[in-house]
Amino acid sequence: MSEMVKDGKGQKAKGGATFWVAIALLVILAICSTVILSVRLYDYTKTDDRVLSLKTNMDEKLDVFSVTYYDALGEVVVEGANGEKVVAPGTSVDYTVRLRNTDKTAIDYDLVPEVTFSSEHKIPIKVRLLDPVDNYVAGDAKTWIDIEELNEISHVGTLAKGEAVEYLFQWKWPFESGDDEYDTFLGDTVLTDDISVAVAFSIHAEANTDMDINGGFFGSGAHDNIGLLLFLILLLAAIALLVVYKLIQKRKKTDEANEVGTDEISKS
Amino acid sequence: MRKNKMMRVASALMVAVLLTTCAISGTFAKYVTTDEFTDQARVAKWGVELQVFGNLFSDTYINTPVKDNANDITVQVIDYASTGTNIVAPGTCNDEGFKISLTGVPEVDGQVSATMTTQSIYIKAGTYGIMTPVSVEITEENYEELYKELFYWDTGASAYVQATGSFDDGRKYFTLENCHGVQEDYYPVVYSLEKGTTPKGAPVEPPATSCSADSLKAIADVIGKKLGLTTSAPDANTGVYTYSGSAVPFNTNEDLAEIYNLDGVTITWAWAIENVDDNDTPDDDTDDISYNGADTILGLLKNIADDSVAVKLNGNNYVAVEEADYCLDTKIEISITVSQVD
Repeated sequence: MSEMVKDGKGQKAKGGATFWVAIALLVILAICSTVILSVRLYDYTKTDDRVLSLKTNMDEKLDVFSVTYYDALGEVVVEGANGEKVVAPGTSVDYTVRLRNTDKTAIDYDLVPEVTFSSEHKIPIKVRLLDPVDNYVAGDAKTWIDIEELNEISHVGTLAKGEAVEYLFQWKWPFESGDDEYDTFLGDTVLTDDISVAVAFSIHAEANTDMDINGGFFGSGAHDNIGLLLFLILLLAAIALLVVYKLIQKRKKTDEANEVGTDEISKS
Repeated sequence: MRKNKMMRVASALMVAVLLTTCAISGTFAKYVTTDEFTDQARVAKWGVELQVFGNLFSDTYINTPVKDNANDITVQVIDYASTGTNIVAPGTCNDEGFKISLTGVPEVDGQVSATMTTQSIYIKAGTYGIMTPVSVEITEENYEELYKELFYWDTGASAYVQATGSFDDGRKYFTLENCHGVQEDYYPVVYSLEKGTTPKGAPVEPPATSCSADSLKAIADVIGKKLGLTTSAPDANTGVYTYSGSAVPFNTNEDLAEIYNLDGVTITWAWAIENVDDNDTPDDDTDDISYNGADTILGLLKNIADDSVAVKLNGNNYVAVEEADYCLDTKIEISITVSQVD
């Protein structure tokens, strides 16, 4: 009987330890989940770091236009005074627009070009745009479109974590535009009026959490997935411990009930 | 009791963990970013101002107003042409002039190309007159008295020769009218060049001009040099000089006024009522050359009667004046084009 009492006390001690372990695990998980949530919300709300960078040759800004243009011999043929960017008949640029995903997950992006003229006088610039696989998004191999037609165009794509793609943006102001008089008019009027063109590339990106795109559960390499898995394992472990604890408690009650019946039989 | 409370705490913790897990999952799915990059450029400046304006000649000239008294002004209008043809004559001038102005600081490479022609009124040195048919009938009776003043056309000599003492009633006789000598080549319309009021760079240097040389050509040479133009001998019959040459380039942001020095240069002219060549000794008037006779000849050459012939002395005889001996027209035609180069 004393051994049975001792066993009862041992089971009771074992059950108590299990319960406190489960409580400890739950407390730790609660703290960790709060920390992780805070970090993710911080990442979500901060605006100084760009997870989708638009770069060419690692420049941080867009340089579609230039201050100086050169001929085939390397001689300057056009140059804006006071370091101002200019366009003129005969000028052209092939510009690489590079998108790089610096985020920890894949992203779906929408690249939207936009063109605005500063005055009612349109500048007769022609353009073409090629996507990362050299398909024409604007114009084609034989055709250049008016620059303002870029406002009707956009292009979507997906970038895996760390992936970069390049678009080729080509523009030119034909030297023989067919209207020398208008070209001259623009060149003269700009002395008194603002005649300029602005080209913008807007990027709207949304996280793509698809497992396949992100390289599977472990393929993304992020600690988050493994951490989340560990998190879930620990959560399940805590739940399991609680269940075990309940089972132990139930068994203990059964054993105590059986022990009371045996004592009564012995006494009788 | 204590155990039940702990179970409740454990349950609450579990719910909290589950809820935050859901929230974390949501932040992964809803991440969105938007960005924009812009670049801008203006049209490169051209701003080339090329002006060639003014009228050198007219069909009407207004004489200098002369005050008879404090309240009267007399203006004499000289009008030779009724058809609107531009004319020049002794005593006419244009001191407002014909201006050429090329300015601008374009932001592109370019070039200036030009052509030019000039023509000046002139008469070469020589003795000129008008061979006019005699107005009276020459007979054997009056021939002796008149023959020294008479000329006739000698077919063999192809010239008008002085009549001799032998009367020939088959000949047609002429008299030499308005005979004048021109000692030196004479260019009655004297052109002048004035550089711009605010010249930049190396301004044009106006050449010295007079009536004894082609002043218009001298000025055209100066202007042509700035525009890359040269000329060769004039047309033998018309005396027209044609200037041509390669385009003169300029670079981005260069001041065209400094390069070409044609910022407001002005060409004027005058045909003095009495042209006098001061000749070799400026202070000695005895060797001065007067061109009044030349002016007269030029005027007569313009209006020769149908049966008269303009002649010039050739040895002892008179021959018909040739086209190359004189020119009655003057002009300057200039075309300038400024264009961007690719």
